[in-house]
Amino acid sequence: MTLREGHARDLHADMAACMRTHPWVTQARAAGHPAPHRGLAIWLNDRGVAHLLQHGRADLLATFEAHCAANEPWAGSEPRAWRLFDHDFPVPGGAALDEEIARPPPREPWLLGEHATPAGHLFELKLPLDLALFDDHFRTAPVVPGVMQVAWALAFGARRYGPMACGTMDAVKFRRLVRPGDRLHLEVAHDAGRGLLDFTVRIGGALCSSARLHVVPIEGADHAR
Amino acid sequence: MRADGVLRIEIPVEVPFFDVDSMDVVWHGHYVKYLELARCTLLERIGHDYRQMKASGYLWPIVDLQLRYVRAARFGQRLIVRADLVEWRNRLKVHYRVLDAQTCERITLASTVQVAVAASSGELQLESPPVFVQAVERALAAARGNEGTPA
Repeated sequence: MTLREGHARDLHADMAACMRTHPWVTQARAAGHPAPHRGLAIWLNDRGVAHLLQHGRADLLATFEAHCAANEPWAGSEPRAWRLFDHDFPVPGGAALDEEIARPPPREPWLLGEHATPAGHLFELKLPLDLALFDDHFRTAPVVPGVMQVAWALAFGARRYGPMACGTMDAVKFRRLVRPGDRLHLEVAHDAGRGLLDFTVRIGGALCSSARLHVVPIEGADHAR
Repeated sequence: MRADGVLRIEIPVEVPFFDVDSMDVVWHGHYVKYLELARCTLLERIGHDYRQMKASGYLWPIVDLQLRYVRAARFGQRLIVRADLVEWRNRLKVHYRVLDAQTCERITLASTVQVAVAASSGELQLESPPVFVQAVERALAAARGNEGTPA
């Protein structure tokens, strides 16, 4: 190990220790050594999540950078990745933590569970705090775009009914915002004979969105039920 | 209020004679050309211009255009056209300001939205193609590196 490598590792460990003193943070961990990707994993408490929802990721990270700079003036000199979690994501240890920090921001919700319903199939989903799409929609108020709720209905519907393409959609309703950290119930119901995929997205029973998609199966595509 | 973007470019435009109408001001439709010039420069900065879009198998038609005219521009006036990248993961949204180059007075505010469409099938893409998102991420990383700010 060179002196510089050791110094860089200590910087991140010290930054994690510094972040654990922030009032919005319940836990902060740095990638171990020799992790190829420098970064910090931060677990937010309810106040931290509230700030993220109201002001966006960039503002939250600027606050954290300022906190580090105020407490450790040398700590802000090196670019790093920030991963954000809440209490639903347990703190991994060792190599698993390094892998999580090195991983690009997730592009899809986490699948917590699924089961059949009288109408179709229900997926229990959790939205990661640092879902990639929150980068730009919107930078100061993260909200899942309606089009992504349609995309997730098609993607998760494909797990159950096979890949399908959507031509048109009817009765599209967006009633409630879907935001970082939300737990969703996505229910899909496929009527193969009529070429329809109905979906609803709910949070705690409250309807967030619903639509009827006119779909056709994608020929030749494999899927596992 | 049109938000600032994560990437910004500015280009100079000098109003040509053939853009001016009989009222001696720039005809309202010509501002769209100025937006196009700025957008092309922004895409070059991203590293994914229209030629690369076409080569990647996706077309990016404009599906929404909004313009607000604040002041009239006149023949020979030197303008700055500023383009800000606002959204890129599900659609390409760009905000524009057309300013007087000397006074920075606002002339026109605008926004455009483009969506990716598969060239082969005409199918609308609900998410932007990875080739485009990755180009934006590279451009953002380069911009952060130039500014010396953390990732």
